[in-house]
Amino acid sequence: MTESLLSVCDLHKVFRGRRGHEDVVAVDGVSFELSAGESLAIVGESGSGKTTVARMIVGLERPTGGTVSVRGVKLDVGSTRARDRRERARRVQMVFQDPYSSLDRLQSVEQILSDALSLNPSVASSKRSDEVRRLLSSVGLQERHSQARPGALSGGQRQRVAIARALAVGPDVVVLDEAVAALDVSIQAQVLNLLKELRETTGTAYLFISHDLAVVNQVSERCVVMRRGRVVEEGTTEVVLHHPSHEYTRRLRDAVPRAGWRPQRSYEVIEGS
Amino acid sequence: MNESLLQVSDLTITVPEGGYGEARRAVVTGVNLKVGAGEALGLVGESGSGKSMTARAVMRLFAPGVAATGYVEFDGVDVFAMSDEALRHMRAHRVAMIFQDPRAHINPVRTVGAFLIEGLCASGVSVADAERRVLSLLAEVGISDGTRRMAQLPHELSGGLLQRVMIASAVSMDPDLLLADEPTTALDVTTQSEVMAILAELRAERGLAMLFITHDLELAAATCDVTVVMYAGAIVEQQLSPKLLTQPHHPYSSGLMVSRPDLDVVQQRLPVIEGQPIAAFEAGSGCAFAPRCTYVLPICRDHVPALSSFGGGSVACHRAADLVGVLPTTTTIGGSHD
Repeated sequence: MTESLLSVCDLHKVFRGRRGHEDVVAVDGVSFELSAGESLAIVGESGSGKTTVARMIVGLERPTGGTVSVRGVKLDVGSTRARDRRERARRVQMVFQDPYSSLDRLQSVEQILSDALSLNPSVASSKRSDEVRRLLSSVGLQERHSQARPGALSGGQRQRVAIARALAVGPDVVVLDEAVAALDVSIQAQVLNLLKELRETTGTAYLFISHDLAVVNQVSERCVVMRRGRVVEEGTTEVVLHHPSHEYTRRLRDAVPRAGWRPQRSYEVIEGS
Repeated sequence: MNESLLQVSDLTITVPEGGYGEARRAVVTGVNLKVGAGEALGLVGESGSGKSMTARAVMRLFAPGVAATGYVEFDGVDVFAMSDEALRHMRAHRVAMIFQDPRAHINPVRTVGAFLIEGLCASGVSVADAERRVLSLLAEVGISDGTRRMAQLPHELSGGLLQRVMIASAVSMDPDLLLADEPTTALDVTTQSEVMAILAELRAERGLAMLFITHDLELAAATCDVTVVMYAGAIVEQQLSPKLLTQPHHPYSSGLMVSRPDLDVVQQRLPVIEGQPIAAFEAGSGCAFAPRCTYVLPICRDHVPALSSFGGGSVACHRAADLVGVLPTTTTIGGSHD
């Protein structure tokens, strides 16, 4: 068995209802393992809890229950202490969906990357500007982009900066939350290829959150299907997508437009889960 | 033949460049479209392609400062020359529009019911009759507990439900043409499938024509009779949908298709279109797609190719004839299997 890099165990999240509203159980007992260098996808529709899982792993939400460990060491995911947050940041990084709101618009690309590099113990502060250049070229940006602010960059270029920022820290895991969903089709393909190359060269593991089964098929070896806060199916991407055992996965698959596809009105309620 | 419900001829749209000058930038250049009664036309493009601007031009919906030249004819009448009253009548009764984000196009502090009956009541239908009609419409779009929904406020409904409310509202005045601007982009795939199915049913029952704007070529081709691909403010290809999928004639259409990841085939590297999409005013001399095109020749950089009839549709490419059978499609790349 390969060594488990990231281990998520029985994660729960309940959002307390305000003023007479009911509590919302967003994540209800989710467990999975991610091996070093692997790419695992979490698939699900809106409200399935997939983003909440991602946010708990990087410490943006405090779990109601359950644990997240990296290399067998439990991350104190609930803690907001600076030392714990830095420790988490060195191990787990995140790339968000919206490249327009996830970069500091007042910082230049170089400042954004240098700040992230300051968390990387293996890069001496004197080497930071060299490293910024190397990172930029690794994500397909030119040196001139280092002085640009995010406002001067296109959506695809910003997402490249966000990927470079995540990798700057030298993390074990990068969590990509719908990282290509907001991009134009032609740019999406470029970024997907880039992510694949970077994983081959750096060996960073990916946790890829997506609603798009075709994208998941292209980027992940294994996947977890979530519905209403629970895992309904798990396995290799090949088996889950091509021979789904859960009715819900089948429905997700059938809903993807392709040649000869006919849209379907389906009202039947899926049993179980 | 002049049977088309909507005819757009040589439409060019410019926006002010900003600053104090008079300079203007083109966002749509020389677009020609025809939509027959009951027909569905898909308009596909990436950001900046001018697809939404083109759709808005049909309703003469322009932001301040936007100027359009050319000719838009709806049911035989020149839309740009219409009186305000005629325009109001067209927008209220003949052409309806649904948008990507339904939440941005509904009054958040009024109930869903008030929103739905407003149009009917304004045209002289009594409140009780309007409510009855709206209820049966809601049932048609798959909302069975209509009475409860009508008493709710928009924020109490999910995105998918709210989009169905928008569709019910759009068809409540029995229009002839529906402009749908990325109506399913913000929805889950299963909800997208339902919404598209509902649109198909309503269109078949009512003979409703549709101009469907999307970035998703597969979705457009699967749901529309004809698909038009736009790039940098101009049409690069127009084909019957099934033909476009099996035999695209423009390198951009082919590139869009094959760069989408596939549900069945995993590729080591996705074939990409290098560079990024541009707007019309960023295009140099020659073909706007030339800087990104794999098949580019010197002529492409110097002369803008005209959109001309080809292979049953039309294509704007100097090399269309050379590239027959050369351009990859989803099936040639993967070999589909299931």
